[in-house]
Amino acid sequence: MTETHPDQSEMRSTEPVVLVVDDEPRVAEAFALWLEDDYEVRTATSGAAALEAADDDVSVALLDRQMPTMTGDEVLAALRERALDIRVAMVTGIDPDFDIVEMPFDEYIQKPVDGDTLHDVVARLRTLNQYDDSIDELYRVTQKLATLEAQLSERALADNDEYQRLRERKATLSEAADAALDAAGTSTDALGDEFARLF
Amino acid sequence: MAAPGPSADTDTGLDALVDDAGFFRSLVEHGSDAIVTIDDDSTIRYANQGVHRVLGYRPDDLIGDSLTTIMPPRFHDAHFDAVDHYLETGDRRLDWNAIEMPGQHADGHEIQLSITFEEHVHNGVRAFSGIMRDVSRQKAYAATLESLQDITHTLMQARTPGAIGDHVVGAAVDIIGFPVASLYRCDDATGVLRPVAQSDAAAALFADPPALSAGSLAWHAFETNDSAVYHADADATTPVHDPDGPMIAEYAAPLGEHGVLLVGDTDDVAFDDHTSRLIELLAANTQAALERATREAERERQNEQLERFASIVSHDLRDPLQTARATVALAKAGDDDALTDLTAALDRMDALIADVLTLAKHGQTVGETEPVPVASVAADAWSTAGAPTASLSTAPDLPTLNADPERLRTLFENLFGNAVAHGGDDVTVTVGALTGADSGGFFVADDGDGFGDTDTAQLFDYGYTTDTDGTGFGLSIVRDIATAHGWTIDATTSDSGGARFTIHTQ
Repeated sequence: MTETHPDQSEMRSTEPVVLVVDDEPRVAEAFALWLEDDYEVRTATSGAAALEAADDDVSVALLDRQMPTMTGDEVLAALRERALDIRVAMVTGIDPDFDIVEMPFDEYIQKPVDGDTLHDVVARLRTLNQYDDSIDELYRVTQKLATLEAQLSERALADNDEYQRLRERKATLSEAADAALDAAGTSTDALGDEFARLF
Repeated sequence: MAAPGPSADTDTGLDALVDDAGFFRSLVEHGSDAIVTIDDDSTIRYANQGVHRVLGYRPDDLIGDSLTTIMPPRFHDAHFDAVDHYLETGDRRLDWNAIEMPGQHADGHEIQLSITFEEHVHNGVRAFSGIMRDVSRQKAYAATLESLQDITHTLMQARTPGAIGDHVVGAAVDIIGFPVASLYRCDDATGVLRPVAQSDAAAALFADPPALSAGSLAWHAFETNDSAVYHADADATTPVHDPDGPMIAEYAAPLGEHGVLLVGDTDDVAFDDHTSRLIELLAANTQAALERATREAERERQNEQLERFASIVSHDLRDPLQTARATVALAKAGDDDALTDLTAALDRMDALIADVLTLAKHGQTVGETEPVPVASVAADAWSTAGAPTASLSTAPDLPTLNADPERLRTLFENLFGNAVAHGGDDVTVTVGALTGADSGGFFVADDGDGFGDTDTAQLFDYGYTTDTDGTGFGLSIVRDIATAHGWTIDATTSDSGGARFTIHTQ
């Protein structure tokens, strides 16, 4: 089931498009309700419907993980396959584990969420659109590290190779980002609050 | 009555004896330690009879020779330096009391000696004497003890009984020196001792090592919690698994409730005090290691369970909580129907909490068990868990089981609930006895749609469900209750194509 929320349905609007995917219709509806004042919201209650609704107009997708038939992880992989320029936040009840390290999402949010949280997430992900790919990746890696660190014990983290690799990757990316900013005659500080809020 | 003491006569006799120089000569001559006296030039001037036993020389062969004769060559220079230094300055470079140094035996090998040096002047002649005791055996024993100490460390790192067993039989062979060694563990379910590790020689002798029970040396040791020794020639009354087998000597050391360490030889060997002590030490360390491994495994299991519960609370409650929050938002926005869904979300959370509590409170434990007729427990459970339009059919030959009645009822309630949830309100559930080769237990079958493509191995996992309304814990609870009673459970397809759960109680 795909539907464009009624408020925005008259014509193609210039508002940014957010795709909400959750197999629980009430949840998808509520997300749409919370976001519809600022965004054009499309909802989908299955993986297949999500892929149908996703196109170049969508700038942010909020993706449930645990769905029957096609999981959110599979939807994510399919979206990336199609090379759509969509920022994806997994919004899920599932505890993050090391399996998220290789997943190409931008942010991991644990349910339950409220309207304010959703607004913050979407705003952050939209800001990210302004930066180049290396900053994108730095953001993604930083998010994953924070997600894992919040969930897993220090011992589990210390023992995990993927986590260690992720940390190394972050160090490399941070250096590269600093160097790029230096070259541009600015610094991460000078980029201001907006950038700082990202990390 | 007092024991007879030395008489006044013998006292007088001893007094006379100590006045006799011959007594002291005899004492020195025949003492068990080797005594060698040298002069300033390190030439041996006296050697007692003990030098033959300790060093292999006749006293006469040594007298007139240099002390270096009985010293390994690498010590020669240091010896002369030390003597010169002492004669010049009076400084001792070594402690003279019970110093441990090797000596050189007449046949060329080195022997571990404990040497005490004495200096005295006799008739104006300065003499140095060494009193030497052969400590090879003590040294070897100490080295063995040290090796056993090292193996203890390894044992404590081992995580499984199999790994512990491998280290232990290795130590019995390499350190204590018994070629045939095996570790037997008690199999609580069947009440016999089963081999978990055996040395190469043991494997060669017993390709298919037997489980041991009453009538074996190992069982005897296990049952009495006391070490037992068998020797083929010694006595016929010691229980032994196979009196005509290849073992000449066997030593069984109990490992508490865990099992038995069995060492032995096909050659004639004696278990002297040293050897027994070493075996007992190894056995004590093995027992400690097994206890630790058991504790660790239990701790790990509990940790995993705890993590699962944490995950249940955080994961399985998050989804209905999200739904609740969503429905409230929608209701506020004017959608009153959303409130119906709110009730459903709350019910689901309620059911989850009840299941998680059942698992957390009881886990894999049972209370008092008593003979319980399966038929009546099943009927009771059906009254709460069955559906009005569904029917229960119980076989007339259902067994009476030794069980915790409350927990058995919970088991049935969950199986029935599962049948109704998946087989529909008009499902027919059959409870029957296991018969024939499979006897000992019962089954619960339904005429629903069965498991389809579902991997039945996953069914009992915490939180596994194919039903959006299910909590995914019902079958975990069933499995935990079965396990707690020492039963096993499996899931197959019933005769009518529905689900069948079989509980084996034997």
